[in-house]
Amino acid sequence: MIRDGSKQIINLDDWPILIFLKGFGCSKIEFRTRDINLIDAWSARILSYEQSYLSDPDSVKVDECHWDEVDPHSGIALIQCFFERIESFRANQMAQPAVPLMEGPIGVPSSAALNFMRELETESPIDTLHRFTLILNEYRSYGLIKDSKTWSLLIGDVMAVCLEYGQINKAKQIAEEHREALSAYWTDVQRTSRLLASYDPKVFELNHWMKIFETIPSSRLIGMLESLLTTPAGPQTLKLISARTHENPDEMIEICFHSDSAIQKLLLQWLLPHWRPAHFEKILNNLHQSKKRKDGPEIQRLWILALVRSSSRNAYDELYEFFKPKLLIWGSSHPQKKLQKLILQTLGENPNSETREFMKRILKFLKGDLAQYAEQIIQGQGRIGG
Amino acid sequence: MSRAIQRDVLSIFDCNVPDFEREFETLSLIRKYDEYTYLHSLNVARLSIALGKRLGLEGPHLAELGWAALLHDIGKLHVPLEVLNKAHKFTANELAIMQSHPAEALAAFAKNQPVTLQGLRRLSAAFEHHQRFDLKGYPTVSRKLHLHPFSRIVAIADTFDAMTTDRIYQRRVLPDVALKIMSQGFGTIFDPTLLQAFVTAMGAYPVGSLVVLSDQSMAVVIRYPDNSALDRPELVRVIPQEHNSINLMDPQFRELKIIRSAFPEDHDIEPFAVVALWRNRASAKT
Repeated sequence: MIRDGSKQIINLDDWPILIFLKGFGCSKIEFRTRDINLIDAWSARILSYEQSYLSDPDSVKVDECHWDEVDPHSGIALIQCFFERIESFRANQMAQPAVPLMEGPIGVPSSAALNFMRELETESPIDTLHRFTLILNEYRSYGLIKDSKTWSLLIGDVMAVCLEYGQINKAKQIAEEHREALSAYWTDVQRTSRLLASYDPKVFELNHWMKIFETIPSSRLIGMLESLLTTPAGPQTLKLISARTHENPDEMIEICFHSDSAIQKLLLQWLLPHWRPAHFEKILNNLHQSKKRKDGPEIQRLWILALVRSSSRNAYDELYEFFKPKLLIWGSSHPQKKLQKLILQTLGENPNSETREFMKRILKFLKGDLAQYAEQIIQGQGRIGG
Repeated sequence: MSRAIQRDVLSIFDCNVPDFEREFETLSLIRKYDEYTYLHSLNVARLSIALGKRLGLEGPHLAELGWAALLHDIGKLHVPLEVLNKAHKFTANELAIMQSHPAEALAAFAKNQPVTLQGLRRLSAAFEHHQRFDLKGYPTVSRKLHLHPFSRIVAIADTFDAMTTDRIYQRRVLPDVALKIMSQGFGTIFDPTLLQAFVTAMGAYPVGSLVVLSDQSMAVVIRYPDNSALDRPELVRVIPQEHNSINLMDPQFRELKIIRSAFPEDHDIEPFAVVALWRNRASAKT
């Protein structure tokens, strides 16, 4: 119809592009050219509008599209679209048509429905997580991260879902790929708690599992300990601290020196194998502080053990000072006796030749049950009573 | 939690409300932010659920699909209202903001609730609903993994509803024309199997359409009797008004054809009232 220049009327429904134009209210198109290049350019443009419209109907606005093909020299429309101006449509009287009812006569072929159901039902959590890991990377590469806190919540939550479905490696991979992003996550106690609670690692999984939490500062972890202990995350929190202590005792030792008694009591148990002479002065200082604070016997016992572990020779010299008679102020002897008893108990747990030597040195200062107990240790017997 | 929102959702699909408390809260945020987006989300859910049912989905799968559809535009919470409701052409920057909404869904979702596996499936639909079946579209992706089944359903429902809803800047496309236009995206923009299912589920002229017949009378499509052709539904003439329905499959009407559809408000017709009236009459007879 176009090429030979003859006039022919075609139905807009017969040509796909024209259906699109009809949808926008175009009732007639006049072609006043035979130039095939021009017609191709016009149809390519209309097709691009159609594709944009199908991808996102909000992105195409009828008044802003170039529907006509205009001759650049004369300004005459060589292809002109005529749009009906429908009187009854006014923006302030927009109709709210109901969603059409899906009551068409032809059902979905059973094979198509079956395939769809199969696809949905065979989608495992691993598939979902795989998809979402890709989405996370796309999101990041899209440069959309504006709110680092929210982004970190998303990353952390996806890791939690991975762990909830036993995907330690996936969670570890995400943690490694988004190391920096995670820092904000650890400030959210509830979400950190969820992540910790989501999986209880077996011994052989511990190394991989720990990597997931690598970016949480130990000080923060310790700081959250009190609130996490009573939650389902409690056991894993302890596991993580214990593993970290084993892996990097120096960091934990520093934290321990500066924590309150409750935290110290926990950390001291894990730190026992890690004390070295370099720590001696700080341990001694903490033992004195603990005594001054009137901490419970358990924590003082742990400080005593730490002292002996760090440098036994120096420790026995310092502990000796607790037994040396001092000028007694009335009423102060009782606490001292309690500490002496505690020292004897602690040292008596695993006595060795050094312990026995120490007992011999202090025996002269002891009386009653304490003296009796020291003698028992020297002779390689028994424990002191409660 | 708003009772109105509960009622809206439960009119579309069944779900145990306490299990979806956070989702309801998120939906109420959408409603507070932009009424149009809320109503659009309800429509997308209606269409997605109807298609899901046709595909044989039921129970929890259906509720999951329903929520994926209801929250597919959650990212619009991060699009400023002046951009969201702009009547004129977007600037390049505004277009970029607008097109960021699928990706912004991730942030909006994570901010409002801890993410679960089900949440991730829903989020996939929110992230992917403007991606095409051939993985073009936006956000741009480099992966080869096909879209999630829910994303493919929601993409169809979303496009159809956006096309068939009046906007302040342009009139809607009539449903039958929208279906024809959407067919241009068969296998490229939309999943061909699902689009086929959607079109056949609607019929060439969906129930409730006002149509002009070859004798120049106007009628409302009231139903598709079993075994009828896609373009041969049962109708009730409204101009001139008649009481009896016409089944176009009936040999006595074989000369009568549907020429085109029309906007009901241009003729002061309320097609769904006609459908309801006819149905009431039909059920009273039985």
